[in-house]
Amino acid sequence: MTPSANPDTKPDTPASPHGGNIRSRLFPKGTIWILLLFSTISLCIALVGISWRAAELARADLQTEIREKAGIEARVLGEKIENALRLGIPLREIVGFETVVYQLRNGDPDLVFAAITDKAGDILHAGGLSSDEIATALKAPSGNDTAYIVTRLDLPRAEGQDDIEVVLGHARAALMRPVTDNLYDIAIIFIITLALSFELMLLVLTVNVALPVRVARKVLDNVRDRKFTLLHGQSTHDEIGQFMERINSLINTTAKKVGTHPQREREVKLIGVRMLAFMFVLAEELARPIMPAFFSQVTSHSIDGQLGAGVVMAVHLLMVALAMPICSLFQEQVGSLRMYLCGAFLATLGLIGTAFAGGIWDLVLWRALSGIGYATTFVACQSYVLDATNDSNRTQGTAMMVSGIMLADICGPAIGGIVAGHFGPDMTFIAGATIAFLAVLLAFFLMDNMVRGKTPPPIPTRAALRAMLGNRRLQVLILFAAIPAKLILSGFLYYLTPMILLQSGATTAETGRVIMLYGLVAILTGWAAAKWTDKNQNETRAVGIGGGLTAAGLLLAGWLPEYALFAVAVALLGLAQATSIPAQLSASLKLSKDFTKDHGTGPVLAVLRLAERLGGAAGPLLAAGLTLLVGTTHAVLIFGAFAAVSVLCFELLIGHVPAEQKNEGGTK
Amino acid sequence: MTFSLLPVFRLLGILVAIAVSIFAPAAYAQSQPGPLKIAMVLWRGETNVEQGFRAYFDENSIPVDLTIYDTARDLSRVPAIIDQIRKDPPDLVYTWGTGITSAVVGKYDAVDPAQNITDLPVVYVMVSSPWKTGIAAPAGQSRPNVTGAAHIAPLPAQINAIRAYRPMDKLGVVYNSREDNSVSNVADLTELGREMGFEVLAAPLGTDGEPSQDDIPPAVAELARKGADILYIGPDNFIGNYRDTLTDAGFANGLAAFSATELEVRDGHAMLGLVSRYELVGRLAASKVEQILIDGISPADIPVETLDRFSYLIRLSSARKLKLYPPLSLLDYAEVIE
Repeated sequence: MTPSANPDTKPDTPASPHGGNIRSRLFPKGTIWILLLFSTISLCIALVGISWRAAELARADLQTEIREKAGIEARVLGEKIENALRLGIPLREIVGFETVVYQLRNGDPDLVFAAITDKAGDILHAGGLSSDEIATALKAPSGNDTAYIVTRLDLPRAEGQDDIEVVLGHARAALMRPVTDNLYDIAIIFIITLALSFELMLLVLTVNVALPVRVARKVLDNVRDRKFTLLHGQSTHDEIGQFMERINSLINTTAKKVGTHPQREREVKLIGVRMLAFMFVLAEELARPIMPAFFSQVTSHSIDGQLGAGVVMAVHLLMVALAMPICSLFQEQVGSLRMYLCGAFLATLGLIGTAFAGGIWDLVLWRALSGIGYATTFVACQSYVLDATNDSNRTQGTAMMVSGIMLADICGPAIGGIVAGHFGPDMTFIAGATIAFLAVLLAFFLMDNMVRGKTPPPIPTRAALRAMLGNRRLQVLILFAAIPAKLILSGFLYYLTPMILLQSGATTAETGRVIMLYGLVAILTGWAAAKWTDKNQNETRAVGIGGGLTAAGLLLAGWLPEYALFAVAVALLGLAQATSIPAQLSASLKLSKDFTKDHGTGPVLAVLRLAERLGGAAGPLLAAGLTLLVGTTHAVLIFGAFAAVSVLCFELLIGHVPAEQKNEGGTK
Repeated sequence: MTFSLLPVFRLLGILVAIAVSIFAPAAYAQSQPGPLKIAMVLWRGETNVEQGFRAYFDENSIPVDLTIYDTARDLSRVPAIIDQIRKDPPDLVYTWGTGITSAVVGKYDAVDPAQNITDLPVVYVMVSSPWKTGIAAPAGQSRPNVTGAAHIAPLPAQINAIRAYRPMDKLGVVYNSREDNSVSNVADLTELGREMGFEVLAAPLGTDGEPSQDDIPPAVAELARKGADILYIGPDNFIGNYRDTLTDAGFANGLAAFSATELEVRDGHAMLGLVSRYELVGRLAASKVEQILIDGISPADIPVETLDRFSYLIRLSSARKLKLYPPLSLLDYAEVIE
């Protein structure tokens, strides 16, 4: 029984004699695409239809709402005019009507114009549009197809004076605005639902269909070759499993006759780690939108709420940063499953404790536990992937895990926001704890025993560690790729982007959408990028391409800081990170092969993770400092220049420094 | 064996000194029960400032015994008033305006104990530029017996107030060049004009002898000829005295007047003003007196302050005369005086 490297995608597997290189194909062929297209189009048609109907139904309510709002605005304007008249200011001498309309429009973007007219309809004062434009708009026949919803308010005057009228015009397009605004939210929920469905279907189909069929194929090939040395070991209880059990008994019978001793063949369920990674991040990310407010509220009795929330979040990040390299050192001794169970258990405990925290000290304790749990489960998943993959498919394995994490990063806050809105912050943390606990149970099923704890590798000697740390190519990778990547991610995406977009007038929702684009692009492109990296076996090239894409995006956003260009830059960053991050891990292990051969991957990963965390922590600090010194837009340009210099140094140094000497990895 | 009591007496002496320093009242805190004795040296009798000053003590049930010394707009009377104050020293001296305050306490770096009051706490009001005129010590320094309440809104806020009413590129200022506070105010305005994009058209009076009321109309006409958009009335006692002459000259030349002080709008005909209400200035000064005489805080430790809120005043009769009506948005927060 030998575990195959990567059952889900295996680019180096020899072509099947019956149908080309089926195993290495990323996407299936055939009618499934037509079915997918059909179901997607059907779904979209249904959604558009429902939205349109909802818009129709909402229109009447919205019209009433706009009329009420217009009535209030007309009264406000009317009171101002009456006040001026009461003070004795002649009607035609009133000054500053335009400014008042401008101020009203600031509070109500749907208001297009306002005017004061006399009974003959002559415009005495106008704001928003010119008098002529307003006159034209008022002359248009009323009806639902006009561009404006016109509201009029009579202002009766003293005897002997003509009455006047306040006239307001609101854009009729405003009737559709709440619906068009909601369409973005509907689209996001649609994408999240699709992603979650995809995740579930991928798991179910891979575990129940793809893996058993793949092993069955291997066993049947073995039978065809008259070897009778393999039995189907990928246990399922469905038709495939029952069928292969019968085949197994036939093979056993035949094997006895020919004198062979067949072994059970099975493949590692690498796909399971994607679900486990997704779950531990989802457990934590669910409460992300409510964390600052909830922490402020809990800690407000002890210290200033904002400061309290900051302290609690900093402790959590510190614990993640400390626990990750430490866990990496012990991953091989403890084993992935045990480590994951410990981590998920700690996370469960931490999240339940957080839900019921009564003050700053216990909250800090619970968040520290959550942080340790998060780091432990992360390292466990990573170590599982490393154990189950080899040089030829490591990047793909890592990308699979990373995409699970990114998916949770996207879905978690969105789902958590809905949960918090309906059930409150306590229940959101409890929901997170429930997911973490479910992950404990699922881990038994999804993590194969065969990659559980192994004989621990010998503890590396100081000389070996020194040699590993002195490996100049590894240094180049860490200094010019790993640290800058995380630094730019946290500084640009999580600090500068929201700050600049919000300052330039984008709403929180619009800003959120742009940031979400990062995860979406990374998920959609991650696997293909990783497959390309593995196929070419050139991880450092992928890292360089990622750095180049990052620099291009940032320089573009810094040069022309427009909403659309920021979206492009964020999407490029998503593509860049999807290309670079999994490749960095593979490259780091490849570059320090002599060390990992003798002492395991733990210390190398510990160094890489620590460096990444340092970069991640430095990003917002650097961004904040640059913002103070040169302003936000220039800070983006400087980040872009930094990315360009980093990738240039990386490209120049990674290929030309002397390769690691064989004898550097051992004791000299 | 001889036994000396000297060290014991020394020790007792030290202990007594410590006890005195702890329990004795602070420098100017009133040691005797009874009303606070305050000498008030005024420029032109009691104004709303003094009403606010009195009201503060009434509302806080603090008995005060106020002695009024009215200079009747004549600074030459100040030395005699100081002599009178010295004969029957009060707990504190209250001074009104830059001229009187300068004569009573002198400049921070040129105090003459023979002419200025140095041994009594002094609280001043209606000093527009205490630092520029040297009445207040520069930042980082303080005067041991002097503090006060300023009443002028910051100059940028004044300019914004003018521009909220109507566009202004040229600001006409008629001022008494013999008053320090006016000169420093015009200098500040000129500098601010470079930042905020307006030109100060200055018409100094009294450059060759005492200024007279008759000098005002020709100066205003000259400013109108040069294209002034509005007249500016700053903290200037001379212009304050002849404010109606100035505003009438403005009406004759189609020029409105803005004032940095309340009376020029409330009792005069300036069209608009961004001002500290005099009554509130009086209350602010009274709170400083309370800090000095009741709480025992040294004047040196009490900052010279101005109010943080100002009133936007519009005199509608003047607006009507000039046909320069206030914009609608100003009517929401301005105090309109008929």
